Amino acid sequence: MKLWKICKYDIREGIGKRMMYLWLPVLLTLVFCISQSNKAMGYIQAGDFQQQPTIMDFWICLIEGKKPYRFDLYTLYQVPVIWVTYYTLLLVSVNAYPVNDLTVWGYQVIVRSKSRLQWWIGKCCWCALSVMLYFGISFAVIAIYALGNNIAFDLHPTADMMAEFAKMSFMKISMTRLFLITIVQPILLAVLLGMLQMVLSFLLEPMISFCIVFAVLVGSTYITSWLLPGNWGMPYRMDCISKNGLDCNASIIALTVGIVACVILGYYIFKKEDINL
Amino acid sequence: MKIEIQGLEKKIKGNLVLKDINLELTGGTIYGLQGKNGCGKTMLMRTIAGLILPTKGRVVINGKELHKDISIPESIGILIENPSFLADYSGFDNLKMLAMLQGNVSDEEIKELLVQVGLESAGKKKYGKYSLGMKQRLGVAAAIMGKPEIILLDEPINAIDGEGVEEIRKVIRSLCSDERIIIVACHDKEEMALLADEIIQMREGVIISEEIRREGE
Repeated sequence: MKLWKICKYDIREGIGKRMMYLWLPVLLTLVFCISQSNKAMGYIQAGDFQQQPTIMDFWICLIEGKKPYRFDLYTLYQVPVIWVTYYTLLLVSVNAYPVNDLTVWGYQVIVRSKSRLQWWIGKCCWCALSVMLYFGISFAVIAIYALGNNIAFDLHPTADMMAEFAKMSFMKISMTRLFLITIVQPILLAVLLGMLQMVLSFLLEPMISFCIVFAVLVGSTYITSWLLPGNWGMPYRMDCISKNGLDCNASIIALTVGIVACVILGYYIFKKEDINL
Repeated sequence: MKIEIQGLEKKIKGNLVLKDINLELTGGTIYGLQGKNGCGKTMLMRTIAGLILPTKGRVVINGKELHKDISIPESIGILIENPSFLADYSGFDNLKMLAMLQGNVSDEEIKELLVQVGLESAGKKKYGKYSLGMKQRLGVAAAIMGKPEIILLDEPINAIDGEGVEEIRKVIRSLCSDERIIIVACHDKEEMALLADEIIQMREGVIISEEIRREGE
């Protein structure tokens, strides 16, 4: 019961009073949709595309990521800007809330929580909820954009869009696998990065913890490696999409273990922390 | 109601800010903490509230050890240093937010509380527009809301006018009971003499004397 009250408080203060951060996915996704739509329409008008793009096509292009860096004297590596920006804005929206909550009138909240564990679990729940809301808003923007822009309301990708803007491998996997790598894993990744940022904020300034997590994110775009968590949630880097990719099931396990580890480590650190006002 | 502090020490960046504190506090008494700035009054209050972890020693509240059996005292209200609330909310809404977490305070009780601390007319005003004295009164209100078993008040009469001081004193005295321990830190010796049943003097992190002024209720 107490945990529910703490969660209600965090929803009100951490989401309700920070609504401006919810505009970030709206703006980014809208800009992406307009850009992607223009590209797709060009191909349709030229007669190169036989199929109408779907909302799943747009979703995949938004969160797929990109192939890793391979040193080449003649070709510049293109960082997946959309992917990095998407997760960066999410990190911005979850940055500093727990620490700020503690310093503003946090001691009033903590003593009424009656338990450091409940306070921390409340913050973890807030982080997960914020992430799901962020992704939900993005998907909703794509769906709404689709209504008036000749994009099919279909959760199946199309061969034309995948061949040109993503990878045909997305067409060859089951719908279950598609949902796992394009929805579940990216959400789990975002929760993990958000929680990692929260845990680091106990030890470092929020800005520094943001920079560290951002560095991990950008580093993940360069190399496919189990050591860089960004890979665990990047659809392009899964073995069902790219050769030499990471195992999908193992990635989900890694993400889940990572989140649980953050919850435990965060509590362990917070339990021993002096709450200085 | 009983708080036992045994061999309490707190070291911060190599400095001992609390040294070998031993106290036994019982319900029905208003304890006054006195001493110069930096003597450790606030640090002691924060430690009792569970906000600061002792380097050595322990704090036992009704038989339960802090940071072992419980992380925060089960029933506590605190006003420590400058009160902080949410600037965009009114005084009433700030208390209502805290009451939602606390779970045992109705809207009527909040309104009554605001009357008691002299904020009846300012309850609907946004906290960001409060004067220093009004902020302090709201801090006192938050600390005593729900009539917790432990009340810690650090300089509760700061920035409050003469009439207001008397109001706050009456409110604090009215809360004194066997089921409650009230600890007040105040630099005003006269006020302390009027308010506290027992005065604990501190200097450089150490308790130098305990003076019983009157038997508690």
